[in-house]
Amino acid sequence: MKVKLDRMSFPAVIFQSIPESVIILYLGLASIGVRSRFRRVFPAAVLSAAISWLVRGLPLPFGIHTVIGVMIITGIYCTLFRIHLIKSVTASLFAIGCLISTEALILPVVQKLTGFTNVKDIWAEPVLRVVLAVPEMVFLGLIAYLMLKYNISFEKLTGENRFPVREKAKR
Amino acid sequence: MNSFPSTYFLVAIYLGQVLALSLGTLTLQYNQILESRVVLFLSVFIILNYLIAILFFQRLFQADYQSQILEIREKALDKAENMLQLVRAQRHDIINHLHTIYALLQMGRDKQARKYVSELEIITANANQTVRLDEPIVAAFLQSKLMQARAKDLFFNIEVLTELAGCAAKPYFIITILGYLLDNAFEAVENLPVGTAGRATNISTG
Repeated sequence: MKVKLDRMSFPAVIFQSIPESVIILYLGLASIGVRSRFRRVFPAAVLSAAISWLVRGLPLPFGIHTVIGVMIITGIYCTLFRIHLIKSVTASLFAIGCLISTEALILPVVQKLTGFTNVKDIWAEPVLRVVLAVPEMVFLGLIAYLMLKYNISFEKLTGENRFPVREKAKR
Repeated sequence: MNSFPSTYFLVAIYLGQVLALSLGTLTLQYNQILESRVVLFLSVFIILNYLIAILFFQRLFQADYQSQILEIREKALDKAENMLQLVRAQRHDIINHLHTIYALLQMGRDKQARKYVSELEIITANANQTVRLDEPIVAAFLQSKLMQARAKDLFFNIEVLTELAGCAAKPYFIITILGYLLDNAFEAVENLPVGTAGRATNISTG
């Protein structure tokens, strides 16, 4: 199998990879009902983007990077956020899965709009790559925001179950 | 309340499958094997899968949580049953004490009767503290622990600083916490030699 190296430019890391990592981390945390501050998520996102940049430089076939990405985010959740392993795996699978499916959903539209028939050509253009990641990030960011705002997660507990308390006695 | 690793394991397996499907779709799109129309259809299908996963697994987690609550309530019910037995035993005890006092008075042994009553007063003084609680289940639970401590020859002091009126936590949660705390405390002191100051447990509500 012929493997092409995917070298990301520095602006792409700054304007695409890091914001994307922030959103992915937030999305994963939201899926398991964990809220975290930006100052805690941002360094984790920088670390994730840096490791991703290194991994992308490795001569691996398409798809393996994603699997490694899941492992990286799981590791970050486990170590930096101290989340249980199985919860971390669930969160990272959800976040990366959302990213991949959003990419798959947006790319045909992008191809139609730009006239590029080959995805590889779009990714080869540094500016286009960053610009075209914007709608994807907006979409994912919106999902993460809505999930956090309306407390949508796998383990969402409602009503009495959410906080088992008794009504205060009327005086 | 602990979370549910087995349920999370199921979620992870499901999400892994959906991720594999989306990755496959993207790979086929990348290699220009699939038409854009098919890719769009598959992507929408995958996103719907995520929505279904959230809704379905939320229900599963709710069911798990309910079963845990049920387990706690069953335990609380068992404790309530034990307490009922304890109340019956106490009623029996009181009748016996009254019979003894009556017999002593009838025999004209006033001094012994007075001594007997004063001993009883010391024993019941601690129990009276629990009566002040506004939460009958917690009061009955502490009463049962008092009897248990007495049976083990431990000194167990209850100090009621608040009546627990309008306490937000449900009684079975309070009992679960108190149960663990007191069982551990009793276990820690019961192996000490009888008569030592260490064989004591103090609890206060406040």
